[in-house]
Formats: sequence, C-alpha cells, structure tokens
Amino acid sequence: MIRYLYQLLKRFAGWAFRSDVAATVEGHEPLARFIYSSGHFAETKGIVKLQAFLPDPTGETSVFRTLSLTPQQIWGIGNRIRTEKAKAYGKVLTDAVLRVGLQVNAAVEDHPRHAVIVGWPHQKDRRLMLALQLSKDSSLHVQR
Amino acid sequence: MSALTLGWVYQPFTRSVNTGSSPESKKLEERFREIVLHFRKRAERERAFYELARVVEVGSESNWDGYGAPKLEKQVSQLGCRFLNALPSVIPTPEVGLDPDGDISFSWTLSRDKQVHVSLSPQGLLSYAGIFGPTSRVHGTEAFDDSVPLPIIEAVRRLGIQV
Repeated sequence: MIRYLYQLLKRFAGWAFRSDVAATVEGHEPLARFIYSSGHFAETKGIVKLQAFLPDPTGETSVFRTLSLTPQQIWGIGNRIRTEKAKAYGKVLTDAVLRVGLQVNAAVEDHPRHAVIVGWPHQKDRRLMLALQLSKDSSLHVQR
Repeated sequence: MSALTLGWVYQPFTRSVNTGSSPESKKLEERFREIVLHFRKRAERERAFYELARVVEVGSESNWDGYGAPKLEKQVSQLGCRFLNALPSVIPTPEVGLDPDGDISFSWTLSRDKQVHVSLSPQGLLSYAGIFGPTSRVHGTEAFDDSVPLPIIEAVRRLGIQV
C-alpha cells in the first residue's frame, strides 16, 4: 500500500515538475545548490562559500533547475531529497557555470529537475578557483 | 616626572582616554595599546583553534555534508593545528572549515569578490585560490613544511585585511 502511494506521489510530483523543463539545461536557467552544512555559507556576509560548490566524491556537483518555481517549491525539493531539511541554497545561473568552463547536464533519473555540474579539473587548486568564481556569481537563500 | 598609580582598581581599564601629556605617559599608552593588541590577536587565534576542533568533530562522520563527503582523516587535524601555529602574526586569523573531499580549509573573506581560500590535504599539500576584484585571481599548490609558503602569505596580504 505504502509502495503504491509512493509510486503515485512520485508520478504526480514528476508530472507537476516536468511540464516546463527542457531536455537540456539552457543558459538562462537558474540552478539551486542545496546546502546541508552550516559551515558552507556565511549568512552575515550573504555569501555561499566555495565549499558548497565543490564536487562530491563522484566528481559531480548536484544542483536543481528552478526555472519558474516559487521559493516554496524550491525549498520543497531541498527538504525532500535528504532526511534533514536544507539549511540554505545557493542560486547561480547556468551561464555563469558555463562561463568558467564547466558543464551542466540534466540528470532526470533521480528527479525531473535534477542536474549535475561536471567537468571539474583534477587539480585541487583549479577546482578551488572555479568554485570561488561560482561563489562570487551566486546568491544566498537561507531557510527561515 | 610621571607615575603610573596602581590603586585597588587598575586605572587603564577605567579610562578610555589617556589624560596624561608627558612623553612617558604617551609611551605607556603606546605600550598598553601593544599589550591589548597582542591579547586580541591571541584571542583570534584561539577562536581558530576552537573552530578547528569543531570541524574535526563535524567531519568525524562520513556524509557530514549530505553529499557523501568522506570521514576526516586523523592526521589532517594535527596538520591543521600546525598550519595555524605557523601563521605569521602579520596574517589575520582565517575561518576554519571543511572541504567535501576531506581537506581542512582556511579562508579569508573580505567580500564576495575578495577572498582567499587554502585547503590542506592529509598528505600535507596546500592548494590555494584567491580572487581580488573582477579580473585579478591567483591559484597554486605548495607543500606544507611547518611554514606558510610565501605565495599564500602574499595572497592574503593582498586582500588588505587589517590584523
């Protein structure tokens, strides 16, 4: 029964979100990087720290495409994808990611609006530099 | 002639302005300011060690960032301690944090486009990156041998943060 309800919810949510998202991520699309660690943003300075954008052990930075979503819908995704609620999210335009030489690929297997930032260089200092630039070009949104 | 009287209340802490005008009084005021600055700097460094202890605790479990970050390796906390101890007094105290790959980070942030970030790996490698306005940036890698490499000191000083 629970499994059936879950499938139903998943289908409904997928349908609701899928309606206005293109198959490929376009330059004008805003991306949200959800933050679950309080050390990865500075609320007083209004800054998303670069650590928030550094890739995970698989070499990808998980983001969500937020075009035409309300703030409530954005927080809804961040609060649903982990067991704990998102503390904040950093918003950055896809164009800003592409400008530094990284790529954004849709990754709809997990969620219709899921995407990943890929193409991170192997050298740590170069990764830091790119993440710093994303930090500079992003805006911070904190959970109230 | 000038005298510093030590009553049952230590005078310098009860006045915000030195009312003395003799050269000796000015010298005492200067010395006192140095002492206060010294303790302020020490308190700042203490804060960094406290932050280091906190991030080591946070990183003691894997997936501390919600994105599958690995557990912090034990030796990196000792290296972090050594890095903080090696910071010259002309360098302001950094914020201490954790990178998702298990490095300990030290950052100096003046504003969104004026930042320097140093990551210390368990292998003792220092990777750094800094931005200084819209176009100027620097990055590189140095080995940590219990002294802070010159390029990192120069990058932090370029931010112009008052110590």
